[in-house]
Amino acid sequence: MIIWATLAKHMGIDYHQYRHLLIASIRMDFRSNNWQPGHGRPSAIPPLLINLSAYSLFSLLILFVMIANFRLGILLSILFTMVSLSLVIMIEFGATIINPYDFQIIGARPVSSRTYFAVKLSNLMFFVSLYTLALNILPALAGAFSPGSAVYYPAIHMAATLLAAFFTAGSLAMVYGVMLKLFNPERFKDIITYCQIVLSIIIFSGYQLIPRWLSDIRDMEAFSSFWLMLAPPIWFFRIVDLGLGKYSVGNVAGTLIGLTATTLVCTGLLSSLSLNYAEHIARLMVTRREKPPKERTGWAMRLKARLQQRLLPNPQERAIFGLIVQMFRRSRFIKQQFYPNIGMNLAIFAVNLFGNTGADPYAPGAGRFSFALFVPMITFMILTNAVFSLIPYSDEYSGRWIFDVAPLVNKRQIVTSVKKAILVFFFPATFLLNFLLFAYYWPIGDALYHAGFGLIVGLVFLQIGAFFLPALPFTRSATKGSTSANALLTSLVMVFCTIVFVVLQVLSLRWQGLTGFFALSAGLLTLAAILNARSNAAFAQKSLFSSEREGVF
Amino acid sequence: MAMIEVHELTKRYGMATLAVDRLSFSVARGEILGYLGPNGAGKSTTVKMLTGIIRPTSGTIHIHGQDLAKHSISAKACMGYVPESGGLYESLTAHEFLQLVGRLYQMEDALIDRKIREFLKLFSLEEYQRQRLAGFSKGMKQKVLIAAALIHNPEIIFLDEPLSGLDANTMLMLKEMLRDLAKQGKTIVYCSHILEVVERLCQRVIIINAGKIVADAKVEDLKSITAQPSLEGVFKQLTMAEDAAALGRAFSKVVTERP
Repeated sequence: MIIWATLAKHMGIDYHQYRHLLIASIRMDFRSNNWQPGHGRPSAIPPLLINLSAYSLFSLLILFVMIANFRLGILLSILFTMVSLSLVIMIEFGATIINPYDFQIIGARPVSSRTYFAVKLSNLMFFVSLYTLALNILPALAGAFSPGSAVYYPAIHMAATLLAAFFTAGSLAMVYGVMLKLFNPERFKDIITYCQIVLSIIIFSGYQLIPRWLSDIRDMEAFSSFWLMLAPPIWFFRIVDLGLGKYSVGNVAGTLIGLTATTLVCTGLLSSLSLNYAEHIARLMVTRREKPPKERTGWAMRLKARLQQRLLPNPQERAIFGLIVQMFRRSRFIKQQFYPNIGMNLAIFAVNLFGNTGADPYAPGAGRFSFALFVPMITFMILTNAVFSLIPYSDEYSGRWIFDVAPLVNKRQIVTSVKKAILVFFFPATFLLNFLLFAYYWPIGDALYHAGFGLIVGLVFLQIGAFFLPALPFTRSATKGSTSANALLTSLVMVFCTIVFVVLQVLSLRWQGLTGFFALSAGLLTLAAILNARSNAAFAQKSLFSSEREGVF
Repeated sequence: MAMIEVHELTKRYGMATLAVDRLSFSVARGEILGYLGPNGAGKSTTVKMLTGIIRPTSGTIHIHGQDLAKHSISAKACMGYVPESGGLYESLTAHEFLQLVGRLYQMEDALIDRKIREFLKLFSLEEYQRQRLAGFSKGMKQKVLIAAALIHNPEIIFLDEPLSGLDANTMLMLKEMLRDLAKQGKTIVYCSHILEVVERLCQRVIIINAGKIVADAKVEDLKSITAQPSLEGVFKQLTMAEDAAALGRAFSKVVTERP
């Protein structure tokens, strides 16, 4: 304790305040703060536990790879840890560093900037450690029994993956910190949302490309290439190698680079960014938007009004639709969480566009379905899953009272509006991108019906997603991990469905050509229609308003 | 001795918005200063600068003789603040929140616990102390905020709409408490829109409009200068450009408009 206090003091951190603030912040993260008067009991299973359990399940995949190929398993484990954490941090946990939500509480108290930042960073690292443990504990234990391993392997594996995780989290925090310093607060808020797309493209592309590239490498000695030393996962892979007693120049160099980079990132953050951190956060808190809203011309307004009347004949539907559209356009909280999903989709398109040699990669033949159909399926799945996972949550959730006092008579219209908003604003762009991707390789007709089939599968996903919509739009405060937990549950079902669709195709190989396409599409559209009615009815059965819930305070 | 000294305090948001424009004033020990202004006049911005939450664009603030920009930690240690909104970790219980605040001010745990018990008893919140703040009513949250501002016995107290959501009895108690604290030498800056309370509680009033001070005097002096019978009349004369009755009628017309 005394050592920690002395060390903290040396770094300009008040250890007493740091300890209590950190404990309070972690305690709050493990509590559902959606408990409100009329909400009944707080959630029994915090979203974090759902996430950690799901990650432990995912780690079984790594475990199987590790059993088949020990060294490939180690690399995959490190890679998967770094990519998963990057995405989780970008979508949810990054807010720990850049969200000024609690500065109103801390700002007037005698807490130094360094202490405040150290708490934020430690909170982030705590959750990063938990995720890393969940992802790696099973592969680490299994690794001890692999040939060429050692009894103490779990310790080395955990140390290397934790270092990789800290490096990843620290690097992302550094990116946020540098942007916070470089840009004025108003621009920062915009830039950070767009950066999410770029970062997710980079991370997700890497994640897609490296396994493909790995599959070409049978000889793991290929990792001795100089250029590979530039890839951070290799540094941490080298640490494991060195820990297993494989002394070589490459392993020592990789270990040194990994350790140095992690230390530099973490200490660099504490020494440079933390000094003026409170000031930057305060600026973020009080910044105001100066951009005047765009003025629409008369005909554009009339066209919009006419389309809305057609699409949304009921004022209640129009209200919910309008709320969703405005929130996705203007709320930075939602943009920050949603944009990485767009980035993932763009990465999938980019990988399929540029990751091939230029020849037709799918060889569909005339009118035959192919493996390429995974692309539209996954992109529509990511899209619908992201929207349905995000819609219940907002940092402006305090406005939820409006739903309790407004005479909302038809609950089905609420979920219908959500579906229509997704259909109008997200589906056309995704369909178009799928079509363009296929059109790059195939004749227009083939591209059109492959993209069209993706769209139809997307419609089914849309209806499945609606079953998982737990609350009215933007009425819940996002506790840590809540969006991810929601997304995980929904995606598990959707992944299952994707597998079913693929099996269906394989079974229906004899239905080739347009007949097969129309037959399968008609079947899926019927399924979507049935699910539409069922999901609307299921939503209408949910207790959405305070008056419908028990435990009124 | 001036406990708060403000010199040429200015706050700009971007290039377009001048929220506070070269404010200069001081507040003496034991004084209760009323800080008034219409919505958007710059009251909360001023208080946020005085409490060190946001940094001024220019100008200086001295708290208890210390420059807030240079010695923010020691200056903040001697002040308490009741914010207008937010300001609570709602996932914590009342006890946990007040304990955290006390610890941030380096108080001993035994003293913190004793104070929490007494505050919660005075505010009739004893039975709710182990419940999360998220479930509290607006008035109950306000009581916790007030307790959090006073737990460390600050020399300077900033209150931004402190009576918001409180019941009549608690309001009376709070007003008496503030008078008593001022008698004991505490300096109080009181922002509110309830002019009757400010008139009865504050010895001196500063009125700001569009970021500038338009009046800084004792309440009685202001009333005699402006020839108004009440602080409400003074406030209206100094800050309202249009006729309130005419505006009220226009609003009513909009409310009752039919298709």
